[in-house]
Amino acid sequence: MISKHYIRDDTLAERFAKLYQPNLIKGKFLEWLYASGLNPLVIGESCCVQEFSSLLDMESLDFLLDSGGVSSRMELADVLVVAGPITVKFADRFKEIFDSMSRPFWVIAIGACASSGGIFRSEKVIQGISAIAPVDIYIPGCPPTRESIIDGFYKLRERITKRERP
Amino acid sequence: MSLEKKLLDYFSDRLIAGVASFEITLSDVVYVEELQFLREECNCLILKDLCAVKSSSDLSRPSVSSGVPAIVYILYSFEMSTTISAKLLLKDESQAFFLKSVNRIWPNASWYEQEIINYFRLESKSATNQKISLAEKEGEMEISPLISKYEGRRHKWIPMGPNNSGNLGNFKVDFLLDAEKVIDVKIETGMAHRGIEELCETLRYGQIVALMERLDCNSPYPPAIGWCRSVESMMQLTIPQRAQALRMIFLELARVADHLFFFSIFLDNLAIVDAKKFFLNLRAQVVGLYRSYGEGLVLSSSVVIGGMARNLPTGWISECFNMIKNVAEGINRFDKKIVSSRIFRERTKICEISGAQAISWGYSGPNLRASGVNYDLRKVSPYYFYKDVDFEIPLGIYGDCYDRYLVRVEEVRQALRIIGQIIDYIPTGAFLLEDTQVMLSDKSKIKTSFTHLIDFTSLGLGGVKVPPSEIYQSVETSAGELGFFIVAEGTERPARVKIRSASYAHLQSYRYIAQGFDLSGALTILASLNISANEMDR
Repeated sequence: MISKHYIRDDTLAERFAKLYQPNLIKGKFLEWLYASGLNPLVIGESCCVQEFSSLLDMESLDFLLDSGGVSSRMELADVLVVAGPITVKFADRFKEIFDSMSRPFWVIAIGACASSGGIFRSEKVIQGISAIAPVDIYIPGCPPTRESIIDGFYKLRERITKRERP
Repeated sequence: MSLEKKLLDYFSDRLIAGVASFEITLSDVVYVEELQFLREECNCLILKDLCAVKSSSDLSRPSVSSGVPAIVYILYSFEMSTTISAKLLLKDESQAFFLKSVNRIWPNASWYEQEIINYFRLESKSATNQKISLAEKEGEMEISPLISKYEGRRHKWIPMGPNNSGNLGNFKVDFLLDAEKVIDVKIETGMAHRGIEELCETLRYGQIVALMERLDCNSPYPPAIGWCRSVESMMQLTIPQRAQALRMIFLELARVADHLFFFSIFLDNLAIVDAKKFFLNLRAQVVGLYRSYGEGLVLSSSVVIGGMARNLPTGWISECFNMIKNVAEGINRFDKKIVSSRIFRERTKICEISGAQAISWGYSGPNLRASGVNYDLRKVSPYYFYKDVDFEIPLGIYGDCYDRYLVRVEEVRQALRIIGQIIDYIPTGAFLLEDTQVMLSDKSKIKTSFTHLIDFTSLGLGGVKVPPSEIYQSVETSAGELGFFIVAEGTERPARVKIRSASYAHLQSYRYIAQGFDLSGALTILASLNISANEMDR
């Protein structure tokens, strides 16, 4: 079972905003807070994960992400990074993870397999995770280049600051 | 008495002798006894794989089973170092359901037999029968009877997975703990099953290379090379020497990269924190070589049927020598520290697997050699230039986690030695076969020659055609033996593909070898087996 003691509270951040940044508009401050310290949770194990983790090793995403790197706890993560095919057998577990993420959070689909099934045109793989979860950013490629993954994170940041929430 | 004579006496006209292999058609009544004979008299100690072939609408299929469904037991005999494929013809697909289990002869048969039932999709047809047959097979994949016995007392289940943050891959392992001790393990696989084997039947031989690169994403080259090698030997092609040397380089580079990845996971599991980053940085240098060869991509479809798609770019060889120097230095420096540490030794000198046990579980690769069994496909049945290069096979003594680590360290050194030797004597010349039946010819030649034009259009429309035959061939990868069982019907698409993955056999034994240790010990054992979920589930 997943423990739910730690749930990030929106009101806590709002209180913080009132206390320390009274001149900032409340909403904007929150978006800035989320966009500047993203904490990803990676799902799947495939070539796309290799590309993504090679970025983490090279510290290319450090200016975007939280200093803690990749989170292994769904209660602490902001971004659900879905890399690689989600199989039918794994789909239930994926939904479970999706539901237990603390809100708000965003979803990135890395690679063709997560976006549309890609090369695996079989009934064993879910043809695009948008069937089971709303997706903010799709990153194309099989596997995508490192540059396009960085670009995808930039796009996500824009989306967060413009308050385009799913 | 030689093996051939023994087989001829027993099977008489049901035996077909090949070059280094035998084909036997088993009788459909006493096949268990016949397999028992092969195990005991002919020394077939390893059951490599169990392949099922569906019935075909094309009744003229000559080689395999002339259209009827069949089950092929692929055995390996140590006596003459030959592969024996024993074939059992079925009248009907549902007959596979009442297949007598051979897990008394080879313990690793249970998961393979389960796979056959899944392959024929027999669950939905008769639900009651399935229960009976599963009970006969001692419920390998089912919940063990221990649960009801211990439930409600101080025993409890600790679930692990399936999302293991990218370390071990997507599979589920549940431990039943008695206070601190693991007394039972429940394994659930299939989270990474993408149906690659079924997809292969819908694609052309050339297209499947791209699929094989994605079989095991940590090491794209060995499955692609293994696939192309099997298809080429079905078509009886001999690729140019330079292509052979290039393929050997990439097989060994993949071994280096995979073992470095293994060290990072294994040492991270033992809470040696610095090791993870150190070895991943070393591995990044090897992956950098993939990238510079494949024009910026790791999965670059560089391996094609008939050779390699690209030549080595300028400056690649000096880059490779740089990598060899860095990895050798890094390994020596880190290994000296780790091996001298008493804590590391105490934590990893657990779970001894004897050679006989390892063979009976169908182990291969470094896990088998750590138990002291000298079996390496590169030495036993050398392909490409492995008979010409000078290298040694490291062997363990006790077969514990410590030996499995040491064998891999030594294998990295030997792989670097092989790469250095090939680069010194790399043959010049073409890296692609110049055969218009297999490779697309030059566009300048099409305008002048009519035969080139015909070959070009037929290749572009259909792809290569493989003559009707069946084959089981394997390559030695970092995990173990990666085998391909292919059935061709003379068209441009294969009729059946079955991939033998080493991790499937390794994980199967985990339930029995992990019992009696504490949880951290059990996790160390799991990491020491080097299981890749993507390769296992296919």
